[in-house]
Amino acid sequence: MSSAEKIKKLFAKSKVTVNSKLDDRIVSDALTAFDRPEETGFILAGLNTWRMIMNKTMTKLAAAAVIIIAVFIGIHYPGGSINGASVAFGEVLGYIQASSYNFDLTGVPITEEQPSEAFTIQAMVLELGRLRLDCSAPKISSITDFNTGKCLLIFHQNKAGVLMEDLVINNMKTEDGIGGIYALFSRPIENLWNLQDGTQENLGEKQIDGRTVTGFRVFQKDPYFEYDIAIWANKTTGVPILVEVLPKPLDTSHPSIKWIMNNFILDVEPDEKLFNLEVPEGYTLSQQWDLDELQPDAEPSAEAKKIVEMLELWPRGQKTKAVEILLGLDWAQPLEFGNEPYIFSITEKAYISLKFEDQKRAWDEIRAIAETVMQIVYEVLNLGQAAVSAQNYKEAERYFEAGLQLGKLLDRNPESMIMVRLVGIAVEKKTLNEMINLYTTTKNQEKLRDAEEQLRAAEAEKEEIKKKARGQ
Amino acid sequence: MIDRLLVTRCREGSRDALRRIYEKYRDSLLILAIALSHDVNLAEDAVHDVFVTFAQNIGSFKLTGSLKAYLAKCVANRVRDLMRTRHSQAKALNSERVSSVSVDLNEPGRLIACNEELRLLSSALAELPDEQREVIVLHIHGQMRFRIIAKSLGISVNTVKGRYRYGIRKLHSILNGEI
Repeated sequence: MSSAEKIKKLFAKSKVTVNSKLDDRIVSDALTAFDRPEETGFILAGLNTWRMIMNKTMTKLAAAAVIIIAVFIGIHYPGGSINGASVAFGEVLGYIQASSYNFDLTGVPITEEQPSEAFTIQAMVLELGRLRLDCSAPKISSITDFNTGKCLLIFHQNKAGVLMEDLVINNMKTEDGIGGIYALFSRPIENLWNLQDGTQENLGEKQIDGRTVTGFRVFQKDPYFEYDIAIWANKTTGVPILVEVLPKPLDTSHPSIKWIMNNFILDVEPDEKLFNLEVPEGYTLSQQWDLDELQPDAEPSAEAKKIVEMLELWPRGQKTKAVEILLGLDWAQPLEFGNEPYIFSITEKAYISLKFEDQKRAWDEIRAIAETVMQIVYEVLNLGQAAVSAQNYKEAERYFEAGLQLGKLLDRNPESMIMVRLVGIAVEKKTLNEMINLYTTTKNQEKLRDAEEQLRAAEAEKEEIKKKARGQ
Repeated sequence: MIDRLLVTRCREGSRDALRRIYEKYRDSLLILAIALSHDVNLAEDAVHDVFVTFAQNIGSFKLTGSLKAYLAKCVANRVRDLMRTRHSQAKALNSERVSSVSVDLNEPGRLIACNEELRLLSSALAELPDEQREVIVLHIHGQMRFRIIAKSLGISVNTVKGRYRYGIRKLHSILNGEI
């Protein structure tokens, strides 16, 4: 018996005996969670938003911060005063009643391994409880309305928005209303001073940008973080100049980010439209639709049915038959597809508007079919090359033309998913290169020029799509 | 097919279906978690968290493959997270080797009792590097293919196979004479 088999046998003989108390604990908690579907939406929205962000190769941290802060403000915003404290630190602050203000929020990741770059987010507070955060790279905004618990995340590069409702999770509120850093953003600005709870440490005075400032430091705690907060304000006017917050996660596996709030501008009159919880014009609201709701299923045209058949035959190993169908297609005939396969029907906007689970479903299918298309194209290109070697140029052209048309099919709709169009263009380029070789061999100048022109057009189109995807 | 029905019923609001899924996979998932962590407390927590999350998300859950493999993957991920967290906490407290601390798997009063084979296996697995242990446990006990493990861990299939091969060799030498 081999080592692996012996170990497998040991696994097979392994047993546990479970005390019913453990069953009670797990089943009871699971059933409680089962009965609270209202929390699920938030959790999924959070996770999937993460997925959207983490799929990007650009700066992730700043984008994540925009979302995390927006989400956590929602979680931690219970109403009422911070810690119940109302001690005014200085009479000079009494007159500050700025209900709308702007400031810069800089995050400095605290890591042991290597220094990380700081990032700055522009923040705007509109009256009480409405906050907008804008991150410039990548371009992401979050708009949170604490009165309704709703938060809109806007992904400008994708021209898409995600509305998270019921942001406030009841069981995450703390009894004493501590909001830590998060509550700071949604309160009248003078409440920065009201953080003093009698335990503050007076930091004295210092100079910031030629101004004399006076400050204090407090420590606060909520179920997730311990906060070390230092606040500095203009000694004469009482206007906050600098706020530094270091939330230390109680779960030490989580990263820590020091937050710096500065460049406060008080008494601003922000454009209310910037706090609108509807996606901007031309943007698509995500998480709305099921795949089945996208569009009424249409009867596919005859040629479209043949293409679907070809795509079904190939994975089943009936490759010759699949290629025969491809070569027999009449590309001049109308090509109208039904809802499925999604690769031919879903537009980029429609994809964004899908619920996340349906996005995954559609994506898995589209990726699988795109792979099949590529395999078929490689097959016909191989056949074409063999025909060239046999000097059967007409036959070779037939194969290459079939591959080219397949590429064009994927790229025919400018509204199609970007990934689908890029696969189509890759197919076009691959086949056009083969055609250029063929026409060079046969010295067919007219067709050679035409193929070269098409290749340049495909290259330009690819660059255009990539620019669009980058939001340029 | 039964799993699909259970999931469907669960999505329709059947608490009984949820309970049946738990009862069906409880032991297997606990063994998986113990084999991965060599820590009964952590295994309890991991299986607990996975079932709670599963119950919470059942409304939007769609079963696309094997439910057992799905739950096994979730438990493995959770075990990894919990081990990392506890290791960090231990580091913060300056205590040594908490993540690989040897736990008496049959300490009286525990809610889970392990048989002799599991104790033997778990102790031996604890001596392997985390990455080799994970691959062996997921492949043998979780019945996950190398390709799926590779995808789940974001590494190549060859790396997974290499870890498996070296791990099995080492495990065999650790267990030599006992199996």
